[in-house]
Amino acid sequence: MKKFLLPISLLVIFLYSLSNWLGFIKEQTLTYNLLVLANISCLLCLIIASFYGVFVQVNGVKKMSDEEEDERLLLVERQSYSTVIWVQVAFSISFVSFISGFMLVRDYYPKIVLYSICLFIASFLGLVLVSYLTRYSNPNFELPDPHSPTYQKELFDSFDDGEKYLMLKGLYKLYYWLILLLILLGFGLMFYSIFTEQSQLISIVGIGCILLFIQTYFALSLKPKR
Amino acid sequence: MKSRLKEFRARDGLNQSELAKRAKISRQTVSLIEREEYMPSLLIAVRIAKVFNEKVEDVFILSEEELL
Repeated sequence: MKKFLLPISLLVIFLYSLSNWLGFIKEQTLTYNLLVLANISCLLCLIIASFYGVFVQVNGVKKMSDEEEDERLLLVERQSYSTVIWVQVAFSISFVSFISGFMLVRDYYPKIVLYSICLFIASFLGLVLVSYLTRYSNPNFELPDPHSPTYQKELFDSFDDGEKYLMLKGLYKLYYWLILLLILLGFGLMFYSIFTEQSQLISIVGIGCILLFIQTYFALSLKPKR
Repeated sequence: MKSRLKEFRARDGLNQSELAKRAKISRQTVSLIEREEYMPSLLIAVRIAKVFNEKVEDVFILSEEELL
């Protein structure tokens, strides 16, 4: 029951915030409402993640027969990944909400920006904490010493060929998606600049630099060394 | 490539986790091989075959097209 303390506490905060917001929704500006909606969505993601995290802890220590053991480990692994995904979604939402809140409403609604910062920190801590779930989903895996100067290399080397293959497959797809989306974003910003007369030139140049970096970095990593 | 991992695991009473531990690979890799989503490297194939006391070619079956 102790394990459910965090998700239930978050759920209480969520319900309180939601009822508070819905009571005054009509009196507030659109920007305010959108930022509160983003914060509440972020909180909801954290609640879902924390429930998944608890399920991982509960299912991770269950004793099963040999036939059911594979199914149990697969379930724990899936739940572990769900936890990571929901925390990452919360992190992204809180990041955007914090940045846009700080830019747009820091003088009028500093409380909203403060909540966004708190959610951003909570999501970041969540990202750190989910790495400890591997002890349930992958009990044989040993995380290298985080203080080691070659931590990244040691971490990469601790994965076997099968896991590396899976990562490579995902990254390869992601690489092409990233390029396509950045190009589309660049075009979108171009039309946005023309129609609204708000120049997004710096953002477009920034996207160009990122495109240049990721493509040359990838090509250089494939180029044979002497 | 087809593998007889499930069959040999059932014979020896090993679950994926136990096989992974003995072959010094991850359970995820065992699962990937069983689902035929990953063709193991020579090292992994030999380690798995060694756990079952079988020849590599008896555990992993390559079709004629794959060998040509």
